[in-house]
Amino acid sequence: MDEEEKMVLSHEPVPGYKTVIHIVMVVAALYLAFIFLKPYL
Amino acid sequence: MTNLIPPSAIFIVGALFVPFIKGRLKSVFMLLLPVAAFITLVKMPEGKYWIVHFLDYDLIFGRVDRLSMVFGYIFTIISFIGILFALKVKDDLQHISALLYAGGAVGVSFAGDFFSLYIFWELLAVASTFLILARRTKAAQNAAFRYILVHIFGGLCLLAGIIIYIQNTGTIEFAYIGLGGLASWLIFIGIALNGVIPPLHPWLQDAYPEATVTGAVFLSALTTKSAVYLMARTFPGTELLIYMGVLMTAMPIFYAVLENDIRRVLGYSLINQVGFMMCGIGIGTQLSINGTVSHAFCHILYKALLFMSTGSVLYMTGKIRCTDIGGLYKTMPLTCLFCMVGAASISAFPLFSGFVSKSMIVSAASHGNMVAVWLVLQFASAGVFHHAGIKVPFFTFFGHDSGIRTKEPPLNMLLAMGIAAFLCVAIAIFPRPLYDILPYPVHYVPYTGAHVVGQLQLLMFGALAFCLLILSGYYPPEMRAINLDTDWFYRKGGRLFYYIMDKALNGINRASERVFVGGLAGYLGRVSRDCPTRAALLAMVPAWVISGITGEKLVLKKAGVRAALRTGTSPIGITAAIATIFLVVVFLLM
Repeated sequence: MDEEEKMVLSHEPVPGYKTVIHIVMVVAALYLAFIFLKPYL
Repeated sequence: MTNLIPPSAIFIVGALFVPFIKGRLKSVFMLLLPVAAFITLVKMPEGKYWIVHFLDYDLIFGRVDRLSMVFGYIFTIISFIGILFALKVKDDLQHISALLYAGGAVGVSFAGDFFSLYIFWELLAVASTFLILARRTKAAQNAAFRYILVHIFGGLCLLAGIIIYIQNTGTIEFAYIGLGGLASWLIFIGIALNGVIPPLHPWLQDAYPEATVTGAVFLSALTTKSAVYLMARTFPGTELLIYMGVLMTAMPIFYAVLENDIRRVLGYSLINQVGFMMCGIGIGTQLSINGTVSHAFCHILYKALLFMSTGSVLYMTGKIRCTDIGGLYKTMPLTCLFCMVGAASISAFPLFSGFVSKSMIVSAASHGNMVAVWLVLQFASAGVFHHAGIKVPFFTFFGHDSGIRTKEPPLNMLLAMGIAAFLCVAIAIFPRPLYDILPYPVHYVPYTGAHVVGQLQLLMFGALAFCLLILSGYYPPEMRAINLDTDWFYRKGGRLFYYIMDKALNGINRASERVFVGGLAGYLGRVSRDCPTRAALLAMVPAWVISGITGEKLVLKKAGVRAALRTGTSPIGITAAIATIFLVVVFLLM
C-alpha cells in the first residue's frame, strides 16, 4: 500500500510566471530598501 | 461550595466508570462529564476550595480566579467537542485516556499548590502518551516512547525545581515566581518543555501527527495550553519569553512549508501560535496577558477544528500526506468548509476568531515600542496564513486530484466540527463575552478601519506570494521525508551516543574481563598455588648455592622441592624453613 503512494509532488512552473516572480521580488526589495533607508536619506 | 465536586475529579472518576458502561448509555455518560464540569465551573465563585491537609501542608485543589477560570472553561468546552468527535470510536483505552487527560488539564488550571500541580502535570503526560500509543502502529509506538521520555525529563526538572523552591521558601503555594535562582530555572524548564519553547519543542511535531485521529484533538488543546496557563501564572513579564516566543512564531514556518504530512504541518503551526502566546506573556502588560489568554481560548477551538477536519480525512481515506491526497472538496464538502473556517481563524481573517485575539498581542508589542518583535510577529502572521491557512486546505481538498472518492465522516464528527466552527465565527463577531471573562478589563477594539485593512493587506499579499511561488515552480515539492529539527540530538545524536556508549562501556567491560577475570585472577591462582614452593625456594636456593650446589644439581634440587610440595611430602627441614619464613613475614608485618 505504502509503496504505491507518491513519493514526490512537484510543482511544475507555468510559463511566464518565473519572470513575474522575479519582477515582484525586485520591486519588493526596492520598496523595502526605500522604507528602511528613508530616515538616512 | 463544599457540596460541589472538583471539575477535575468529575473527569477522572468518570473515566473509571467508562469500561463498565455499554452502548448508547456510554455515549451519553461521557458527554455528560464535561457538561457537569462546566456547570460546576459556572457555580464556582473566586476563592480557594477543596483544601486537603497532607503531611503538614495544605493541598489546594481549587484556586479559582479569573485566569484559571478562562482555562477551565475552554478545557471543558473542548473536552465536550473532543468526546463528541470520538463518540463512535470503539476503544475504551482512548476514551479513558482522553478523560483522564482532560481531568489533568482542568486540575492544573485550578491547582493552588505545587504538590497537586505536579500530580496533575504528570497525569497530563501519562494520559496523553496513551492517546499516541492507541494508534497501535510501529511509528506511533516509537513516537510515544520519545514523547514520554522527553516529558519525564521535563517532569523531573519541574519536580527538582519544586523541591528546591519549597526548601527555600517553606511554602508549597505558588503564584508569581520570576526567573532568578536554580529553583525558578528548573521550574521554568519544566513548563517550557510542555510549552514547546525551543530547543525543547520537537516532541510536538514528532508525536501529535502519530496520535489517533481523535486523540490528536485533545493533544492539540491541552498540554501546550496548560503550559501557557502556568507560564502566565508564574513567569509573566519575563523578557526571555519575548525572544523565545518570537523565535517560536518564525522558525516553524520554514519547516511547515517543507512538510508533507498535513497533521505535522498543523503541529508546526501549533508551535507558531503558542509562540504568540509566550511572546504575550513575556511582554507582561495587561493587554498582552489578555491577548495571550484570549488567543489560547480561540486557538484551542480552531486548532481542534483543523485537527478534526484533517483527522476526518485520515479517518475516511487512511491517508494524510500532501503527495497522496487532494481534490477531496467534491466528496467531503462539509469537512472542507469546516477546515476552511479553521484555516481562516488561525490566519486571523476579520470575522474569524484569531482576528480578535492575536491582534491584542501584536498591538501590545507595538504599544511597547518593540519594533523588531512587532515586525517578526507580522511576518509570522503572514507565514501562518501561508502554511496553515492556505497549504492545509489547498493540498487536502483542492490542489491535484488524487482520484480518491470517499464520503463525509459520521454525523457525530461533523457535529463536533460544526460546533467548533460555529464558536470560531461567533467569538469573532461577538467578542465581548470572551473579553468579559479575561483576567483584566478589556478596552481593546479589534474592528477598526486600520486594523481590518492592515490585516487584509497582510493576508492578501501572503496569498499572492503562495500563488506566485506555486505557479513559478519555486514552491518546494512535497516529499515523503522526516524533517529533523533539534530532535536531531535525540534521534541521530541519540544513536551516535548509543554507539559511543556501546563501544566505550562494552570495551571497558571486555578489557576488565580480560584483565581481571582472565588475567589477574588466573595469575593470582597460579601464584597462590605455587606460593609455598616459591617461598621455600626463595629461602633455600641461596643456602644451596652457598653450600656449593649449582648447575644441573641445583635444577634437580628445585624440581625435587616442587614435587615434594605439590604432593605434600616435603621433608621436615623444608617445612621448618617455610614456617620460619612465614614467622619472619608475620613479624615484619606486625
